[in-house]
Amino acid sequence: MLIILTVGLVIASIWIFCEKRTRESMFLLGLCLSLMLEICGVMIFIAKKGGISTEVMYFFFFSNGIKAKIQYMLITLNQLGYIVALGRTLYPLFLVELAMSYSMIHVIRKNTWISKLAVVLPAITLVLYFPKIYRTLTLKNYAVSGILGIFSISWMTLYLLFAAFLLIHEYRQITMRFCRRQFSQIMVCLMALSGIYVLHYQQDPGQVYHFSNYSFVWQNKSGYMQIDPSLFSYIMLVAISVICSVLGFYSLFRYTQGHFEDDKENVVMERKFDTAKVGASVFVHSMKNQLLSSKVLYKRIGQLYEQPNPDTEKLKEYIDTLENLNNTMLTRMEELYRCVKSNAIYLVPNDIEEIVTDTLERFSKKFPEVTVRVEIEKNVKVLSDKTHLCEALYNLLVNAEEAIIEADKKEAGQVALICHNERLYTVIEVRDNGNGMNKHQLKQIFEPFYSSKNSNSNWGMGLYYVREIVKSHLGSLRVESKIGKGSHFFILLPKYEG
Amino acid sequence: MRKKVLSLFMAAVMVVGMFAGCGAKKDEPAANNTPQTEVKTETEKQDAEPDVEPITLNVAYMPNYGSLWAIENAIAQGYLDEEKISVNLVEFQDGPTIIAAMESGSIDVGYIGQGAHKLCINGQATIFALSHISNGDALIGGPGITSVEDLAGKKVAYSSGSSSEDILVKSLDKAGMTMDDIEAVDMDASAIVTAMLSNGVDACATWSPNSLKILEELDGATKLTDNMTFADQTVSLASWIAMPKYAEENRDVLVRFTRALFKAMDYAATEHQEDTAKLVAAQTANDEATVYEQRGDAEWLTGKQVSAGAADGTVEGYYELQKQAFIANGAVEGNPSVSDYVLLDVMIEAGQY
Repeated sequence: MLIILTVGLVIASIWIFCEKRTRESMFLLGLCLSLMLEICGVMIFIAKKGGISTEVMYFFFFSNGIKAKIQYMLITLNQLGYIVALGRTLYPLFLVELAMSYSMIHVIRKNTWISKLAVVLPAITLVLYFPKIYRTLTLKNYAVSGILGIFSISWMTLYLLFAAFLLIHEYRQITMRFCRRQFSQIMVCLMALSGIYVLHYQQDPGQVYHFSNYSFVWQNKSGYMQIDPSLFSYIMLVAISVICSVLGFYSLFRYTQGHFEDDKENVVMERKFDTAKVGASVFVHSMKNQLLSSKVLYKRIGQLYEQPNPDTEKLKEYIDTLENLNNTMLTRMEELYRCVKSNAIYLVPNDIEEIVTDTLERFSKKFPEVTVRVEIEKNVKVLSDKTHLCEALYNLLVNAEEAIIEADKKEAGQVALICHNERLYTVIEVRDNGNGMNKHQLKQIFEPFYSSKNSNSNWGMGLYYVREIVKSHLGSLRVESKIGKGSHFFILLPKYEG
Repeated sequence: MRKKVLSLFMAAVMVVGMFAGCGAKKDEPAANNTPQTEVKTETEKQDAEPDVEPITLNVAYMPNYGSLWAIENAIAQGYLDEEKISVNLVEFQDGPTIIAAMESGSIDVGYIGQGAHKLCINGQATIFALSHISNGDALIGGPGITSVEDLAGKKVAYSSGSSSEDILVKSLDKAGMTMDDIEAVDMDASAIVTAMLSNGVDACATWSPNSLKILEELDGATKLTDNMTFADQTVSLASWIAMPKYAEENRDVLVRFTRALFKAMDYAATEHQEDTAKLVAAQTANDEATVYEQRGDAEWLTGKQVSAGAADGTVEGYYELQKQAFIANGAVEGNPSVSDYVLLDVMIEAGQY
């Protein structure tokens, strides 16, 4: 059973690494490989040494034949012991490195030497546990094996606790729901893998290549064979291991898939942008309709002048309509131009308060009666193009207010603008308590020329524009929405630490 | 929220699992309970003490004739039933591993070969019954190796702490060599067979039935030494052991268990070897012919002989000789009295049937 489990671990970890070649996925691969080494080593050792009942043997190896093949595998005890030592020693290292790479604690992020320092103890342990060195050290002095055992178990326990602290601390610091959700998946995965690791980490691999002289094992009852050989115990152990692994890799898969889909989304968006040609056709068609309407109006004005006493009121009405048509066309032209022009973005440090103030000023011109709830963290700067970012933020606020109007919330409606620093980002959040959107709408809202609003003034370029502006700021735009509850838009910009 | 609950659940289950995995449960029903045969006669039924508590013992064995010849007959002939003892047989590959498992309390009594006796001398286990005088260990040379002297600079596979190491050290010593003169490769008993048959090593020290298998299947293999080579200097013993604390607290159980063993030894020492081979073959999933060949691996003693030997000092003499040999080759430090780690009184009492 554990053989299949370890094969699954290897395949899944390689797959994850191939999908996402980041520092984190490299540590995850290291984590899985070291766990596999430890488990495989222990399983081979058990197959070779015995001490399990027939039922447990079948449970572990499925058949006598498979067990015999493993049992008769040509491997020296030195090699086998060092395989276990490698897995046991490297796992806490990879776990701590991974936890540190996720951590936003300032001291850890700023001081990269901490990450390098973490390698020292595992490296020393691997040198000391190298079979020849280990045998030499413990040959005449059995107490040394005890000292080595206590040394290794101590730092390994500290590493595990430190990693757990970093992960829990990080989880508690995250306030954004989608970030929290993603991080909780990573935590479940790491906890599951660590659960399997913990089953054997207290047992010292020195016993494998120095079994009969290994006083530390005798004294501390920490031998690989010192497990109750009842079937129930093993079923419990294996079942937990399997459940943890399945759960862990499901989480890992989801985590990687999350990133993968993010990338895929960009590809989709590029394709959508290609379909802008279709949108342009729609645009041209609409403009043509508008111009045709104008043509009709001009014709009517001409007819009016042919009359002996032209109706001036009617004339004024036609002129006003023409002016409206003209303004609408201009606005649309500008909107489209703004989206497609290759305008350079000039990123300079801007105070987030200034950006918010300018945006609210413009918003109050459109909705003078609306009060936006504002929460801004003090002294936060972002690297931004003020005009474009204000425009993007304005678009989100307008969308939020329109959602409230559509939901007919009246006084109960509320738009909120919240800015704060979170992990690596400065987050600008726009909330509304409108009708919210369903999953289908959420998939489409960032597409150009998509609009759920049946209005002549909306051309469906707003969120596409916001997204493009945020991307040009090296940030990302996220949305969470629940039908009947409202929507939260998050602009995530890289934190500026100038 | 659901994930958080799931995470907490997994953590709780893991902790419970670890405890469940590590805790010994002696009172659990037998996982590998060997069926017991009915007690054969009314007279034998009356012989059993009426007030004896039934008990289940976890018994460690190695998959060979020498380890199983007595216990299998004790089960099959109903001698353990007479003592109201049922057993779970658990297979191990070597003696030191059995002692390690005993440390955790998961094994009550176990069988060891010559090599692991040094751990008993060091106080890590107590011997309560002599099984037989073994001749199952051998030092075997591969193609081109015909004497111990040929081993100089060669790769020799052995299992540290076991009879394998014992016979290797003794053989080298007799030839005026030490472990430093060879390239010793520490392996488990099974890997030694693979290493020899694939010519991965030049020679090996191992025990029966692995030694028989290598000699049979490897062309050019030569038995360089066996236990009889050292008959004039020492004796190679196989014994039944328990943890010192267990032996102290359960002396009556050990007497009952030993009595059943002794009766089985009486039954199979000189007769019924073919039937015994069948029982051992069934337990070890081997063919009967291979197991039957192992009947030449030892001098099989009857229970009565062992008990009488324990009373007249012969058995103590064997263990003293063995201990002195270990001391001579540096395998043990100190020189405890044999009576400190061998329960001669149990053997004497168990022989009174």
